[in-house]
Amino acid sequence: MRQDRREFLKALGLLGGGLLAATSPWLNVFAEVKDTSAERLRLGIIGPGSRGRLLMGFLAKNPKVDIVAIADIYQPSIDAALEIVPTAKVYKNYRRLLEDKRIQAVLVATPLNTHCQIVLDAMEAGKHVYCEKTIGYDMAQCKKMYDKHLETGLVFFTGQQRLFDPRYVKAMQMVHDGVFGEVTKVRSWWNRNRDWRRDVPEPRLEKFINWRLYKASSKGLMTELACHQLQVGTWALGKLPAQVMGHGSINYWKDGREVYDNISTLYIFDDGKKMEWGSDIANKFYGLEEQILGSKGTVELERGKFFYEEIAPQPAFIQMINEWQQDIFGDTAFAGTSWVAETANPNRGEYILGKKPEVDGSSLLTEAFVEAALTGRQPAGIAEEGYYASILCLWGHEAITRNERLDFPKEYYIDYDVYGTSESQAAEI
Amino acid sequence: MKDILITKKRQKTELKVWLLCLAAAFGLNIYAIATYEGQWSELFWSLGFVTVTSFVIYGLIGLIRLICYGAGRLLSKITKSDKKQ
Repeated sequence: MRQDRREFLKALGLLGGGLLAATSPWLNVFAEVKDTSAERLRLGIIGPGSRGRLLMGFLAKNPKVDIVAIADIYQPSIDAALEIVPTAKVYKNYRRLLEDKRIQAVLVATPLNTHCQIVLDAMEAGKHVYCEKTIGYDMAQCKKMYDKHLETGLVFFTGQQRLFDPRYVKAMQMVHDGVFGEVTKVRSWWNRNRDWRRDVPEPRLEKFINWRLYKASSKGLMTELACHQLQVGTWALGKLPAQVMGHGSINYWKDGREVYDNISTLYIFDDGKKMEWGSDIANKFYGLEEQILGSKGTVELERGKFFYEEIAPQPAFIQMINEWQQDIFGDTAFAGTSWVAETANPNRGEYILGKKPEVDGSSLLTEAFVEAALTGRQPAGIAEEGYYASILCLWGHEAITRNERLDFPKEYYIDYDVYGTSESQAAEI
Repeated sequence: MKDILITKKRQKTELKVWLLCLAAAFGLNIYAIATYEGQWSELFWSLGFVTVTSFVIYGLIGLIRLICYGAGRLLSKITKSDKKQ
């Protein structure tokens, strides 16, 4: 579902206001300092696979966008993309697309191992870039891409759609305002019960189509799923973890894949607070969720709900009637016992936005990218959040493969006030 | 079918009984607020529960009254038949 920026700001109760600057500084992209209503962004899509086409769907509906070209080497993807934009010029080599001077910006949604070179080449060619997460295959690649963005001054967005999801933005504002007390833990997971495979028309295309399952092209669950949820954790806690440990294995889908089918990671902050992330693709009962656990309440972002620890008691009159009823009909303990375990709270909670979530931020993220590319203004924090989200995944993956508890690699610090990191700080250490 | 006639006097009596039940339920609410450390604003917010409770009490009292009335009628019948004998 698409949501425009007016509805977005309305959902946050911020129409005409800019109160989220501290929590979500990238939203200043919607502050209309320059009227772009008459402008059109000439965009190229590199890698119109399933994710690329989803984003193309949003962009094709944006009146400020002309998708003028696509680049891919897989004909079925090209054919499907041409159904969305029949007039787009097709390139089999992305470098030829980058040579097209009409193109101002590119969207990169190719397999993970190809992102870095494409993004570097695109910025070298003077194009603004939107790159799907995880941005790099390793931490060094992420740093190279981020540095290139700084060097060229071109707009650089990453596919972290939760940054523009109204329920996340609103919840983070509440978290940072202390509504849920002191946040001591963030727990998230992404579970599925399927093999994560795509149909392959010919065996020779197996590694090409199912690139997510092979080490040469992907780091599996850590790079494909963790990226979104780890960023939510650091967004809530306002800092980066100091250490990480984890474990991964192939327990169920023993079908020739090289990446893990289940992972458990633990990110530890300097004050002992923790962020847990896990994924299992052999059981989907708990689906996906990000939980922010505070001393006064809990937020479940995927459900779009929050729960206060203390529920307002029932009216005294009802309490009295209930007690009489229990005295007459039920044999209940008069007072609670200290040894009874505290089971999950039956509290039904409240919706963060007052209603069930309807959008996931993807359309707004693309809209924000278009706005930024047209104005040439990089919104604060957006590249940095994407960079650190990618670093967290890759660092976690390294801890798993090395089977060690690792300290944060300070050489990958960047200047970012939100997390209190800077290259100068790193140099001091 | 026979028409049931409720006299004005009976209506007044029943209204008085229900008002007494309402007062009793209201009194119970005050007791509950004091006992369970509720908020005094519940005197207003719990009026719905209090009203429903007043009807329940009225119903219970009605049942008792009906039993008493039935017992009285039965007793007077027995007394009358004893006198005849």
